[in-house]
Amino acid sequence: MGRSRRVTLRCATEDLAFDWTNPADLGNVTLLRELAQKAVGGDIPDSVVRKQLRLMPPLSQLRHPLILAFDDQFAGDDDAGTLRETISAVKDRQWFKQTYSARWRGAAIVLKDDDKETAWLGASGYHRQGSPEDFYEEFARRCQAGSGAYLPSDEDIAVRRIEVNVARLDSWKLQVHLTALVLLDAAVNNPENTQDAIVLSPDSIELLRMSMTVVHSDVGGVTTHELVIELVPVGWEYPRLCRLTAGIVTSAIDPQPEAWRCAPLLDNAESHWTVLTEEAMSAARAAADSGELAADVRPGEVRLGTVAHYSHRDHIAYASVHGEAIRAMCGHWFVPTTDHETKPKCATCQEQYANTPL
Amino acid sequence: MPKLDASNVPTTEIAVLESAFHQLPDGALRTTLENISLALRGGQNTFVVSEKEDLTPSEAAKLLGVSRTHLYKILDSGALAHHIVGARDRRIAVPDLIAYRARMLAMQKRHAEDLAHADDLEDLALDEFD
Repeated sequence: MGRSRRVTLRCATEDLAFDWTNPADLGNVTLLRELAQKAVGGDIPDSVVRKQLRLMPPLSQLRHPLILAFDDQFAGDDDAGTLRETISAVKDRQWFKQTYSARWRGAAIVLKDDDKETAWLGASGYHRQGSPEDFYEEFARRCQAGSGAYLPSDEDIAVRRIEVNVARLDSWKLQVHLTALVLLDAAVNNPENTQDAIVLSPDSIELLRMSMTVVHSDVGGVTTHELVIELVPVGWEYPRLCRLTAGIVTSAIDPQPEAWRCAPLLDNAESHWTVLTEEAMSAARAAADSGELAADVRPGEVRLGTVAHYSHRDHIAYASVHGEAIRAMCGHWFVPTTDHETKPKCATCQEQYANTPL
Repeated sequence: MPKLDASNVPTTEIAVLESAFHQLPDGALRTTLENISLALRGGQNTFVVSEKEDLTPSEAAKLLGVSRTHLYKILDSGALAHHIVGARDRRIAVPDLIAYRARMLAMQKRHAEDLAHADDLEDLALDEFD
């Protein structure tokens, strides 16, 4: 683990103007800074900044030699056994020297926030061969009235806050996945009896009531286990979290979207129906017994596009361009992808297609 | 609700139906009869329901493509209107079923899109908590 390492957006975009191992990272961090400033001003929502973060490595992994050297230097849990040279000419705070080869010089600082330490790379400069200028002297001159200008600013704090929220959302997804499996196990063991659980938002506000009912039925000597899930949102304020919950709960039980049918209930409530597989019931058993999930569980991950469905050619063309879902001949809704040629064809679709007179 | 069992309708009779609708001008009636003959030729069983007619829960479940357990949950929630005949038998009016089916298909479409664009949905969910 170690403490977290970050480079300020100002340092990355202004001080580290060249020498990037991957110049695309400079373009991305420049764009990130513009968006972060807008987010601070309240002009754009966090989701826009998050979209940009998806496109780039974490801030401590931006591919510039000085950033990577800094990341390596501060990777330890603490400074026990590490000797760091401070920039003694700067008096108001303890800044550390950070160098890479004979050329790059930087100033790093360790800040404490809620008992968690973060190392920041706040300023840097390039030493030209033969030049009498020294970055550390220059830095000290610029800090004569205080080094506050090189500390992380609102834009840096905003990006960190959004990254923390992404991590909270990830652990919330795991919690929802686990809750779904534990509730399913209770429902399997109490057939015909509806089992309830309340799902909380990442802010611990009541988000929705989840109920599961399992019905065992005998069809020609074979026992099937039908499951109906009802998701009843407490209010209307969190539509995206509720929709996300539906995806996580259904994929936790059966990652094959074809296995599910959904239908609207009163107001914004919805129900989802499937026939349970042995795999789903044993996964629920294991989750209920241990109270935890396997490390490789990825909540919300579905097996999309494992079979190729038939639908009208014109509809497929339109939906592919617009990312919309269309209805296949078998009744399943799907967003078409381009690689259907290599996939096995849906048996129901194929049968209906064969029966259609042309 | 009368059901036309495709396997019990001989092709000679379907041919008579076809010659009948060919005499009609383009319009709703011709389209309807054409759809029936296409379905029968394709071996699909066909239901013909009038607006005034009431459906039993099993018939409604079949038309919606859901299980009976699922349909009862839908009825219990109040999302699909129904009335009681006799002691406790439930009946569903055809216009209600058709309106409900449209809502159901819209939800299934949205759900498929949510799964295909899960990253976008997740990003937007970030704006819903502090």
